Amino acid sequence: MIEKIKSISKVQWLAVALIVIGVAIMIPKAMGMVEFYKESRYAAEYDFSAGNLSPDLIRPWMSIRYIAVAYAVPQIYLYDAVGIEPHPETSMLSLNRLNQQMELGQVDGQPALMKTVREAILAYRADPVVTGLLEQEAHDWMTVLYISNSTGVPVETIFAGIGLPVEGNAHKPLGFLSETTNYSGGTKALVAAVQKVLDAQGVEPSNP
Amino acid sequence: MSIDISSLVLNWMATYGSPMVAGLLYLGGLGLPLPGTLLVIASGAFIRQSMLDAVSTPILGYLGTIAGDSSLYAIGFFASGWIERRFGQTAAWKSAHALFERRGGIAIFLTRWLLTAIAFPITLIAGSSGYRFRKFFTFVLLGEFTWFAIYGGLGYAFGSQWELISDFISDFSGFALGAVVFGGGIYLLVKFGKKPTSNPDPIQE
Repeated sequence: MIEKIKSISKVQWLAVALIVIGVAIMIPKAMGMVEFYKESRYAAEYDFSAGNLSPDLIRPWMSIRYIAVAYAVPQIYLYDAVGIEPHPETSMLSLNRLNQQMELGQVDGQPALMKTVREAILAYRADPVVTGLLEQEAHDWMTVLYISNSTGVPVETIFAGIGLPVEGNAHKPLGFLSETTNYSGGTKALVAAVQKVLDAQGVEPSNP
Repeated sequence: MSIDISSLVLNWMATYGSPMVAGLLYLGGLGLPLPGTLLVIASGAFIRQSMLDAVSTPILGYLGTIAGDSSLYAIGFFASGWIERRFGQTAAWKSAHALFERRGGIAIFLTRWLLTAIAFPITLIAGSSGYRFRKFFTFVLLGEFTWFAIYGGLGYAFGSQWELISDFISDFSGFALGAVVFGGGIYLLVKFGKKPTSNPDPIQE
């Protein structure tokens, strides 16, 4: 056995080392990709488009904007709850990244910010507050319910203004809604129609 | 509040827009340790969310990246005299030079978008080994276009879930690098594994 090991050349040792290093790199990365597959199916698995989501479904990769739209809670309200100055640029950062920036640590093995956001969603549902839209205007990634909750304009008023039925559409982002309803003029026209309703209702730009 | 470099550059690009994206990607192309792939994915997502301009961001970002790669090539080119004096007469250098001339194109192309972790040394080698700039530039154009199209497109498709796809691409890129290392080991084992005594040890050459 020792003789056999001694007979292994340097290039063979190098080959074995490369194979071991390659496998050591690939295994954790493959596990990460499997995890991605699970997470990418998360929204579909729990039917986020149906609305009325449990706050327990919040995940570390979700951004404030994503949560705000999925749970129809105004972004400004969430920002106030987590204690961050509201800015469009931070609305796209994941909870995990924000949690690291704020050095909040972990609670029950999860970023502490997740707990704060969950509590904020429950508090909002118990006592909804109109804050205005952080972006000051309608965008294609917003749902009608999110716009309604942020501006105080009733969902029914918005749907009446854009000429679409409320049923099954309130939780769909405007871009997706225009596709599923073949809205005349496409997403841009739908966003403009929603903005027209908001303007007609005298919605003032928020001042975060 | 502590700021890691990724969060910092994300905030900069969202605040200052497409010129900042171009500047950061230029510095990344020069070899500064900036999260280039993350920036491209985030750019796609930020464009989708109307936070960055859909026309100027990809154009300026692409130009910035290519300018960064070309500048690093130039650094390698102008430093080649020193490298040549130091290593030029060795068999290993001559062999590597010949190999890069034959297979360098695919290495340049793949390191622009898939094996990005080793883009820096490959670009320096291209410049310092006298690899023709026209060929280098062609492969850079193709590779960086692939990088922008795939990763920027994924960021755009995933929108506000872009951090999820960012983790996946990081894993995928790492997996691909691991596969290359693993494949290299298998190649050596197959080529030199059967005749350890009759074949001179290439390491000692």
